Amino acid sequence: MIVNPDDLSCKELVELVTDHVEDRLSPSARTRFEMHLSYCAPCRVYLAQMRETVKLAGRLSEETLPPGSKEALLRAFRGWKRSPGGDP
Amino acid sequence: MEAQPGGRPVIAYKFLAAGAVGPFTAFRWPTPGPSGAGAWVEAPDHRPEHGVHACRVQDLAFWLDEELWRAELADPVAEGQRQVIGASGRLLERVAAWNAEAAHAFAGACVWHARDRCAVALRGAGFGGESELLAGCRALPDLDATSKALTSHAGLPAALAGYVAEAIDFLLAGDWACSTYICARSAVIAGGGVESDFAAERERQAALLAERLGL
Repeated sequence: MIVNPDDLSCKELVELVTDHVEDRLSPSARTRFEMHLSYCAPCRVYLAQMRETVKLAGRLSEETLPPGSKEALLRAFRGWKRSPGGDP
Repeated sequence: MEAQPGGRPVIAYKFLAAGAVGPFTAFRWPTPGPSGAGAWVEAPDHRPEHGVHACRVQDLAFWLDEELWRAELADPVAEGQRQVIGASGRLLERVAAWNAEAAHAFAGACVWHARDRCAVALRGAGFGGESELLAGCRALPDLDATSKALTSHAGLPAALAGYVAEAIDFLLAGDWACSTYICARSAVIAGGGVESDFAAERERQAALLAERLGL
């Protein structure tokens, strides 16, 4: 299907979803974002998942991590940065 | 966006997800009770774009969702792109005629209209045979099979039939909102690539919806 050049693609929506959740989109970008959601069920699911993730992650603090988890995470991130192709 | 002059409340329409939930914010709207309209909801801050969003009848098809509500927006109300935005708003009543059955029937009507438009476009472009095949369909399974068969043809017949076939697929899968979107997109191809045909078709869909729902 050929989409309207003014419409967002699903890929573009994914790139903007954090800005939408954090309310950083301009009014016109927000409208384009939401118009896409009005007909794209998979993107609505994605937005709902992002909202839920933000909600759940917001309850976490460093103090709530189980013993050893902080060190394990730091090791994983340091190893990931050192590994070839590890750039995001 | 320009603020609407005067202090009168504006009556508009608001599509919500099941349970009167805002589809983009996940905000659960206070619904009307025995004593009348739902509670007023204020915008979280004074930025115009952060107000309560609703739409006018002519823009209904751009915002389809499971529930349709009649809403009241309080002044100041601004015009946005395909929407109106009030500083606060409340739900007045649910449009009971908009339900799953009505949504499916509405999307079906959009599919048949897309079929008609595509058949006319094909005839005009010299594809009389393909046009006749589409125009001769009388039931959805027939149109489904015919449009899918035509996608194996080359050029415009395959493109237009592809839109019809895809709109039927989404309709039969229960995704009537996407089906109506595809139907509106087909108007652009049938019209020779004029992008404004999309919005015009969405407005035509909205008019059909308003007529069916008695808005």
